[in-house]
Formats: sequence, C-alpha cells, structure tokens
Amino acid sequence: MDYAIMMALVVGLGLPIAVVFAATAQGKAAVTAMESIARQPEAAGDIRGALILSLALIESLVIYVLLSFLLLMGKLGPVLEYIGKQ
Amino acid sequence: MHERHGTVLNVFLNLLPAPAHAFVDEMVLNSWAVIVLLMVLAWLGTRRRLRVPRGLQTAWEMYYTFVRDFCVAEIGPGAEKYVPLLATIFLYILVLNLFGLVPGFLTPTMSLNTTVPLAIIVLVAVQYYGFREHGIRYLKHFTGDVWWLAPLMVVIEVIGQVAKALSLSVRLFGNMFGEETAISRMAALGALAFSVSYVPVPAHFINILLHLIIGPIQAFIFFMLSAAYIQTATRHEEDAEHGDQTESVQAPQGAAA
Repeated sequence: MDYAIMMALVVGLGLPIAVVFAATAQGKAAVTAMESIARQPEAAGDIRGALILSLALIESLVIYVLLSFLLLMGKLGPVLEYIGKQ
Repeated sequence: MHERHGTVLNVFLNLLPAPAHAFVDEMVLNSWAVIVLLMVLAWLGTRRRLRVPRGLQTAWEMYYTFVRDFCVAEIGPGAEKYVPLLATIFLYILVLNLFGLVPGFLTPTMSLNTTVPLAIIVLVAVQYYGFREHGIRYLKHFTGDVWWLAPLMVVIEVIGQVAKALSLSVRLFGNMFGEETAISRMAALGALAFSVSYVPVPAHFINILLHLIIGPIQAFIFFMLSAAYIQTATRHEEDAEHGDQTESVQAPQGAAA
C-alpha cells in the first residue's frame, strides 16, 4: 500500500515540480530577451530567434519528465490490481 | 502495439496478402506519403529552371537561401556541403509534424520508430563529416585536453555523442506524442460534453493551434541542433584568428574603392 501511495505521489507531483523550475528559467530568459530588444531594437530578429531556441530547449526538459509520466501512468492500474490481490 | 490509428492510407494495406499486414506499420505508410508529396513538389518546382524564378521555384529558392544562410552563419564558410542534408531534415520533419492535422492522416514522428532513425542519421552524418574534414585527427576530439585523462574522456565523449542523438529523438517524439495525446484527450472531453448537452464542443481546437505552432518549432530545433553538432565536429580552432584578421583588413579597402 505504501508502494501505491508513493507511485501516486510520483505520478502526480513529478510533472508540476519540473514545470515550476522550467517556468522560472523560461521567465528569466524572456525577461532578458525583452530588455535587450528594448535596448537595441535593430537586433530584434536575432534576439527573437535565440529566445525561441532557448525556450524550446528548456521546454524539452519538461517533455522528458512528461515522457516518464506517461510511462508510469500506464503502470498505476496494474500496481493497484497487484496490491489489491494480496 | 498493433492497435492501429486508422488512417486513409490503411486502404493500401488491403492490397497486400494477409500475412504481410503485421509487418507494415501505418507510420511508415504516412512517411511514404510525405516523401511522395515532397518529391512531387520538388519535381514541379524544378521542371523549368528560369533565371528569374516564378511560382514554386521561388518558394524552393527562398527555402534554400534561408537554410544556406543559416548554415553559413552557424558552421562557417564551407557550409554548402552540409546544406542538402540539413535542408532535407528540416523540411521532412516539418511536413511530418504537420501531416497529422490533415483529417485521415497521422504524424509519423509521434512514435519513436520515426524519430530515432532520424537522430541516428544525424549522429552518423556528424561522425562522417568530422572524419572527412579532419581525417584521423578527428579522434582527438574525443580525448580532451590532457593526455593522461584520455581513456576516461573517450568514454565520456562517446556517451555524450549517443546522449545527443538520444535527446534529439526523445525531444521530437515527446513533443509530438504529447501534442497528439492532448488533442485526443480534449476531443474525447468534447465528445463527452456533446453526449451530455447535445451541443458540439470543439474542445481540442486550442490544442490544434498549439500543434500548428510547436510542430515547425520542433523541426527547427532539430535542424538547428544538427547544425550545431556539425559545427562542433568540423570546426578548425586554429583558423579562427586568421579569419577575423583578413576580414577586418579587407573591409576598409573595399569601402574606399
């Protein structure tokens, strides 16, 4: 039963924790990008490209966590069945 | 594993004898459909090569110019060699990602079977370009700076190369699979709302818009990271200062003349 509780906590809390840190990092990147566009508007194209790139790279870390969430979510049912049978 | 999504192209499966049905995947069929579409577009665009381009040829030239400028800015002056592979990867993955939005087709990149071979192609191509550019001295990239750490560094670098390919494939797969799962879950939610209230609710509309944005962005990320890996494998560090000096000397003379 502790196993089921731990697994439910992991499946439920893993993704939001990753999202919190990723959102902080993406917010910092966006703030710096907007300040530098305000300082130098003729470089806006380059800065926009670098911003999109950084946001997607940080996003991909959250996607890795989403992947593990999807893998674990399918296992919740069999785990609960297995514990219910004992 | 063999639950099928059911696409329009599954019709072609009926042309095959029954034992072959287990071996043909509908992701492969949709990839072939994308390849045929791109080949038809390329043939139509290059039938008459006018010096001043018109129509589809303009689009292809704009695309080639964009990829070539990006590669020259990223990799350096000799980047025309790498443009065909990178341009193919970008356009192919972009069309693959957006193919699922057409009703009756699906995105082949939402399964690892499509993304991992693409990442392996990039991995092998990076090593090949490294060996072609540097010769056998490319192996020095794996050993690091200090000679007595070389055995450890080789292991770490090889694992790093494999991890780069793995992260490329998993990033693309995760984004596309997550998008498709979100669209299907929201569509099921809309169907549930319709069954209760008899008002059609397109609850997955926002997710479709998100997929329209994320598909090309992920294709561009794949392309840009492949260009960055080629750049780290084929750069010549000792030529960096000489290149800057010749550029700064030639510019005032060109402006004065």
